[in-house]
Formats: sequence, C-alpha cells, structure tokens
Amino acid sequence: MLLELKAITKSFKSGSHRVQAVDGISLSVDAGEFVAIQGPSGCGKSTLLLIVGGLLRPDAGQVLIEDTDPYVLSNDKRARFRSTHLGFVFQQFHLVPYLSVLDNVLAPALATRLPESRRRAEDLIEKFGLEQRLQHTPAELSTGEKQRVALARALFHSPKILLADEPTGNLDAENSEIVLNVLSEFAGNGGCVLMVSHDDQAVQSAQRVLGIDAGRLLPRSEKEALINS
Amino acid sequence: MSLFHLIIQEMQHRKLNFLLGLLSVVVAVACLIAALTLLQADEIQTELILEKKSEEVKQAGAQLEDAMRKITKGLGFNILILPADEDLSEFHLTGIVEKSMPEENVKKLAESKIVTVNHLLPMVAKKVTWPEKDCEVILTGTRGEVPQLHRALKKPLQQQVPEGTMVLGYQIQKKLGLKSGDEVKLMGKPFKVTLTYPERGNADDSTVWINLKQAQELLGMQNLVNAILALECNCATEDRVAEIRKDVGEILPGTQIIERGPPALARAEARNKAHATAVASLEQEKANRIQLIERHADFAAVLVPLVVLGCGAWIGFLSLENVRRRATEIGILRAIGLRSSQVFGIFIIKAVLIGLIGALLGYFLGYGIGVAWGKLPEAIHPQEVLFSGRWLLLSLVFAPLLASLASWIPALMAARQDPATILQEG
Ligand SMILES: Nc1ncnc2c1ncn2[C@@H]1O[C@H](COP(=O)(O)OP(=O)(O)OP(=O)(O)O)[C@@H](O)[C@H]1O
Ligand SMILES: [Mg+2]
Repeated sequence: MLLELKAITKSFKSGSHRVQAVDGISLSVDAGEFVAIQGPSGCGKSTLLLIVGGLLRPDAGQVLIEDTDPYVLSNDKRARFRSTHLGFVFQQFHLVPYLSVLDNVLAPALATRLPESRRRAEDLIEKFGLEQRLQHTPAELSTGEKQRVALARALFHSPKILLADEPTGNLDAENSEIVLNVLSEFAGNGGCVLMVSHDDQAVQSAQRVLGIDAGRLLPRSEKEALINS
Repeated sequence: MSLFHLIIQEMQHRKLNFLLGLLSVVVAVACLIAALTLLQADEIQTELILEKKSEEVKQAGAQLEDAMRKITKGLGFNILILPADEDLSEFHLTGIVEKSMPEENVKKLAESKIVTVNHLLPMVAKKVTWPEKDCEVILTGTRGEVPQLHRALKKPLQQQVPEGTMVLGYQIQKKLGLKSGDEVKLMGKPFKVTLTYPERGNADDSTVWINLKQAQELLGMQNLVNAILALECNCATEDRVAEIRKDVGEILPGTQIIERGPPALARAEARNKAHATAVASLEQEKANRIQLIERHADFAAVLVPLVVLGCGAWIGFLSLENVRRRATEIGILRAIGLRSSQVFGIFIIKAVLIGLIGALLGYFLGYGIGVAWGKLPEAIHPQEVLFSGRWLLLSLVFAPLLASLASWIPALMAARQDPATILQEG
C-alpha cells in the first residue's frame, strides 16, 4: 500500500469552541490510483490533504507513506521526505512571484542535494506547452498557465504521491481538462493522486470518489459506484 | 537555481523593501564613518595647528634672541679685556680703569687665530676735568676696530673717531650747550664735534670720545691702553666668559676678562621666560584642541549609537514586514521540502547582502562628508589622508552584522512559521 491513513483526527480551537475538522478518517490508496475526495466547503478537505502531505500533525491516528510515518521524522527529515515523496498542487497555485517559470519549476531542487536538472524542467515546461514562457514571471501568465507551471513544479522531482487541492477551482473548462489529464496520466504511470474538490465535473476524472462531510468519509457514494461499474 | 539566485531575484522584485533597507544601512554606516573621519580630520587639524604654532614660537624665540643680540650690540661692549694688575672691585665701584697695558696686546690678539673674540677695540679712558669748560668728563680714546688678520674683514661695529673729531655723551652736550659742527678746545687741542648721542642712562652720557692716539697723547699714555673691548663674541658654550678667558689667556697671559652689557643671567632669564610663555601658549592651544576633539567625540558617542540603533530598528521592521509579506511563499517553499534553516538563511543572507552593499555606499558617503566637512587644507591631500582601508573593512564587517542582527528575529519567525496554516488560508 502506497498510502495508508489510520483513524486520523484533527480539531482546531476556534475562539471558545473546538472545530472537529477531520474526524476519524481511514483510507488506503495504492500506486496507480487516482482518488478524489468531494465535499462541501469547510468539511475538512484541505486539512486532510495537509495531514497527508506531512505539513500538519494530526491529533490522533497515523499516516503511512510507503510504510513511513512522516510525523516520527525530525522536521528537517520530514521536509526532505516531502521533497522526495510528495508533490503539491493548490487552487491558488502558490508560485513564487519573483521567480521565472523555469526557476519556479526548478525550486524543489533547492531542497535536495541532487544536481538540479534543467533539462528535466525544460522538458516538463515544454510538455505543458509553456516553452515560450521560460523566463516569464507568474504575473505575466494566465491562470491556466500558472496552474500548469504549478503542475510542472509538483512533478519535477517525480514524487510518489500528488496531492491536489481544488486544482481546477480557478480554471475554465479547457484548462481544467488539461490539468485533470495530467493527473490521470501521473496515476497511469504508477503514481498516486489524491485530489480534493467540491466540483462534480472535476471528480469525474478520478477512479475512486469519496464523499466527505463534517470531517468524516461517507459510505461509498453512488458516483463511485457509477464510475466503477 | 540556488538560494542565492532566489535571494537576488527577490531583492530585484521588491525593490522598495530592498532600497529602504539599504538606505538605513547606508545612513548608519555613513554616520559612523563620517564621525570617525571628522574626528580624524580634527586630529590632523590639531597637529597642523600645533606644528604651525610651535614653528611660530620657534620663530618668535629666534626673533627675540636676535633682538637681544642687537640690544646688546647697541649697548656697546660685550667683553672687556683689562690689565693684569687692575683692581676689579675698584673698577666696579668707579667704572674707571686705573691701570694700563701695552697697546701691543691688541696687535697680538688681532694676529692670533682666536675665533671667540670679534671686533677688537682698544681704548683709553680716564676721568678728567675739561680745563676749558671746567667740567668733569670721562675722556675716552678709541680708534675703532683693529682688523683681525686671519678673518675676512667684518663690517666694523663701532665707528671710528677720526683725529680732531669728538663725540659727546648726552649730559655733556646738554650741560655745555654743544651740538654737531661746533668747534671746541680740549686741553689746548682743537676738536670738531661730529656727533652727539641721545640719552643712554649710563656712564656714556658723561663721556667724551676722541681718537685713541690723541687721547693717549693728552693723557700721557703713549702706546698704552686701559682696556680692549671685544664685540660680538661667539661662543659655543653657555659659559662664554670662561671660554673666552681661556682663549685670551693663552695669548695675553694675566689679562683679566669681564663681561659687559646686560648680565648673561638676565639675558638667559629673559630668554627662558619668553620660551616659557611660548610653551604655555602652545600647551593652552593643545588643551583647547583636545577639549574640542573630546567635545566632538562625546557628541559622536551619543549620536552614532542612536543612529545605529534607529537604523537597526528600521531594518528589523523592514525584515519583519518582508517576512509577513512572504508568508505564503515561505509556506510553499517549506511544502516542497526546504528546511527551516534554509528559510532562515534566505532572510539572513539577504540582510548580509544589504549590509555589504550598504557598507560600501555608506563608507564612501561618510568619507565624502568627512572630507567635505573636515576642512583640511588641500595641500595635505585630505582625500588621501582621510581614506582608511581599515574603516572600510570595519564597515564591511559591521554593517552586515548590524543588518543580520536586526533581521535575526524576523528570520527566526520565518523559519519557525508553520507552513500548514499559510496554505490553509490560501
Ligand atoms: N488553522 C485553523 N484554525 C481554526 N480552524 C480551522 C483551521 N483550519 C481549518 N479550520 C476549520 O476546520 C474546518 C475544515 O477546514 P478546511 O480548510 O479543511 O475545509 P475545506 O473542506 O478545505 O473547505 P473549502 O472547500 O472551503 O476549502 C473549517 O471549519 C475551518 O474553519
Ligand atoms: Mg479547502
């Protein structure tokens, strides 16, 4: 099993009361799987992704990625672990505003001692049809182009798992399709994609769709059944 | 892509933040260097002033000595060579030489190789009554200078009194109502008054000068002299009388030598006093300058730390602002695997870079201010004397240190920032 979540819970203190953002989620995902988690706003989707991404320590439960619990690692080792195992794509893209497209894609190389592979970055950029934009800054790109750069960055170090938080949330249909195709392709090549979204359209690309509400996974949804059939 | 590249790109991207940070480093360094350079200029200025002053003091001393020499010369005779058997205490009481010696002595001295004695003037002098005028006078016979053979001829110091002429002291000419050009008789011989002296306030006022030879005849002292006067003796040692005594004693054994004119002691005292006054004024000037420098240093000691602290606080504030603004960026860099020490490094290296650039600019600004306000004379090349590689180096160490210290806490905050919260907000 590439990814295993065991009874993850996470609550936040919000003023005087606690908000149970994730409430006992267990989940297993295999290599080559594209899993979508769908739910309304505030149901705990982003929180779950951060926990899986080794960025937010759960209150209870365990995350295992290739049988390693990132939260038993030291901070620096966990950062290292992220750079070798995980790729992130966000709704807001989160590109570094002052770096060129090429440098943004190369940014993960800062985290490793491996020699940076400019060649690979250029290949990825070309693959996303941005070869004319190598030296442009994010401000000079369209939203669709920005998300493609973010995808190239996430894929640069050939992660095992791609975590995508509403990757199509800001995109038009055409660009959404490009992004979803990339995710499918990544899964098809043996990667594992965990995408959260509230968008019905987007989750259709996934092989497995899980519903989430108030921090809990819902029983197999009809949609999942539909797709699987 | 390296962290350094990322830092440079960020500085170019957020120019205002960079320039404001740079500005405060420049101000802090310029303030420090200007203060140091101005204090240095103060010190050089002081040296120049004191040098000039001590040169003036030296010159004034030389002038004083020269004046003293002239006064001494004006008074007449520096060294008096007296006959061996002259009773000096009697001489001091009366001012008149009783005994005599052969005029030959003058010749001996003049032909000798003596160097300590110049301008030899043989003379006779006796207190007599001027029979025609019934008036007591000191009758002095002088013939002017006897040339010294082994020396280049010197300009005579004392005018000759030619035969048949007469020079009168002030009291005599006043009492007898004589003036230049008058014809008079002295002991039956005719003389023409050629000169009358203004009042000198000593025995000269009661003296009548005539030619030596005539005086010797009138006084019955042929080939004899009472004294030999030596003017402008030049001796190497302070105890000049002893030196001359030794020299003259070898040529004219038994003669007595005394010093004439203002006593050596008084002269030395005057010189010492003048010197002391000059030294005191020099010391006063030095003290004034030191006080001025201390005042400037005190001022700098308050101003510089204030400016440095202010600039440090401003840099800290700018860093904090930079960290806040880059919160998402820090979050994403952490998410893609950067260690917190790398995030810390991003902010500290930026601070060090700003410090280095600011140090260079600030040094030259402060140095320029120092050169402009130091007001050193062009002749000593203030640009060169005030330039200090050591202070430039100091700036290059100090400014990055200040900037990174000021950015330390914001950089720590950035490094400790939880990447999750940031990404949740996005
Ligand atoms: N740092 C936090 N402090 C307090 N409450 C938080 C924090 N992060 C999330 N929450 C709360 O936890 C719950 C789940 O938040 P989360 O961001 O996971 O929702 P989401 O499903 O991603 O919503 P959306 O679709 O709007 O992005 C929400 O009620 C949110 O207000
Ligand atoms: Mg969300």
